[in-house]
Amino acid sequence: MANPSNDIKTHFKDIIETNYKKFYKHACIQLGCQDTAKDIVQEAFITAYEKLHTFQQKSSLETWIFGILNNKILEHFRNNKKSPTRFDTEFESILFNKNGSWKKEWISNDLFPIDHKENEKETKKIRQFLMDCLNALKEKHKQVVLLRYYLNKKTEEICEVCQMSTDNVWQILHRSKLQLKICLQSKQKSND
Amino acid sequence: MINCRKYTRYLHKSEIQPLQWYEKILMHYHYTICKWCKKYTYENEQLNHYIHTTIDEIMDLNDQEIEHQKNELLLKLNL
Repeated sequence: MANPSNDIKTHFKDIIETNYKKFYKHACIQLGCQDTAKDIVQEAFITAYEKLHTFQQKSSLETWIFGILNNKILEHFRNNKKSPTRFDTEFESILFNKNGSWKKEWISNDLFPIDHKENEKETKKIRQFLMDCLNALKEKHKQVVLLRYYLNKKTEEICEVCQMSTDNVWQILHRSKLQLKICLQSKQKSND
Repeated sequence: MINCRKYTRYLHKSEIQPLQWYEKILMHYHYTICKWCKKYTYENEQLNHYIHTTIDEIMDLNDQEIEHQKNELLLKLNL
């Protein structure tokens, strides 16, 4: 392992100080287990530190480390092969008629009720449904959704971290959003 | 003239990349005439908001434990 310069060491340390929690939280959501998340986050930082001499500054150091973390997460899924049952259907054909209009049964009035802020119990229920539905997404899809909407990552960063094109990213988001709608609405219906 | 299926594609695409001028026009026109897509657009905004806030709300992380992990890592890396 090449010895990194003091500047980059300081920068690396700053990233641990400021981003550890964010990275750990991201891993917890992806993996659903805090112990595994801890191991994988630590492994990702150690790998990044060992490979620091290969960092080419094409992106920020933070994004580069985050990319390593995401690869470790996907590697973990590949090695464990314990994906829960996933939807793998053509979601558009579930939601839309042949002419492209919404099917009546999927037009929702109360997926997110306007008065949810006053209704704590209802909000809690929706949040739990949403977590379940997020967990039902394919790993890669969940990763893209969380990068965009939870971590507010810019498109370029998502493409960089997930190593995919902009077109792939929006198509994944499109499928994921439709799947989330189907999942949330089905859960609400069965709960009523 | 686009249909609702195409509208949702443009809507989701616009959250990732700027749309072409003609896509914006088609989307805007459809939005003005379709009450179901107006509803879905609102629902979509709510979904984005909920994804952002739900995770923090639901996950119960122990700050002390995270601090401990952070220190453990810094020690391992000798930083």
